[in-house]
Amino acid sequence: MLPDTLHKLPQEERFAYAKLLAYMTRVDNELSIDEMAMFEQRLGTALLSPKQRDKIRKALKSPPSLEECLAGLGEEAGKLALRDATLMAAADGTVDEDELEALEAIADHLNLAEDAVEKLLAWTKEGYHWMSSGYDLMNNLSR
Amino acid sequence: MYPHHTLEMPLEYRSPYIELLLLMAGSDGDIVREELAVVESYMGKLMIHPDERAVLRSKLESPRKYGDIIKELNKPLLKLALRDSIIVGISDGVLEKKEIQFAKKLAKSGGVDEKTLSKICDWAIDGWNWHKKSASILRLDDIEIT
Repeated sequence: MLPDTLHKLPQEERFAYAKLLAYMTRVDNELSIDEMAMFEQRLGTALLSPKQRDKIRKALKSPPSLEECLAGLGEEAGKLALRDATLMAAADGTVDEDELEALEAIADHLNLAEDAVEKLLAWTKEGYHWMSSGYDLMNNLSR
Repeated sequence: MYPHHTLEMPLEYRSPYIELLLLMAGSDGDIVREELAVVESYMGKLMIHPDERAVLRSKLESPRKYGDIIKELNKPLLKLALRDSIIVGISDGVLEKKEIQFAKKLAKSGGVDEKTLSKICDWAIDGWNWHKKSASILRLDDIEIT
């Protein structure tokens, strides 16, 4: 995954960002291995301390409420969390209704345009095509 | 065949794989936070145990020799490491001369010619541009790649 401004945010903002992702992992009451890998990947990018990572992993078992997560998020961290929550929700190939509802609630909290989630989902799809083309490139190299 | 998902990578290959990414990050003599964040993201993606991550981080200061690391990986994984090391290299917006040299060395070890290496770089830049689009959707600051 490519970098962004996440690592530049204050640590407490990054922690709040990660809490929101922990919340998202449990929205549909299923945590697939793909979602887990994406979640761990984003925790890595956030450069959280090992202690904070432990806390966040515990939050996977008893996730905070959406309101609690949103309360600790600043504007930039919130937008990045929405983007990465979209990526994570799509990691298993489908975004179900509960996940979509949660994404819309986050976008609404951030006062984003009505089509923001739709645009992010289209962006996510584009990204998965790019990642897939990376695998294709590798597979062609082995021929 | 390459693993379609990095999680299919056997456990014993994961640490040397990350060590190669760390070598790329340090190849220009200066590891920036962006590069570190990308390497950390790969450790997360590969679900490396937290204790092992601590060991790997210590290798930033005292890396093993390149030759010793590549001996522990097969050719398909060297190619995959080449691809991901380029992602690490461009993460601060610039692929420095020494990073290009490291990529060429890794390409040689993995049996990848320069034309293909260039295709992999193009693919990485496409990804950078894709990622940048999210910043405009969300009205966040833009980052330029050179």
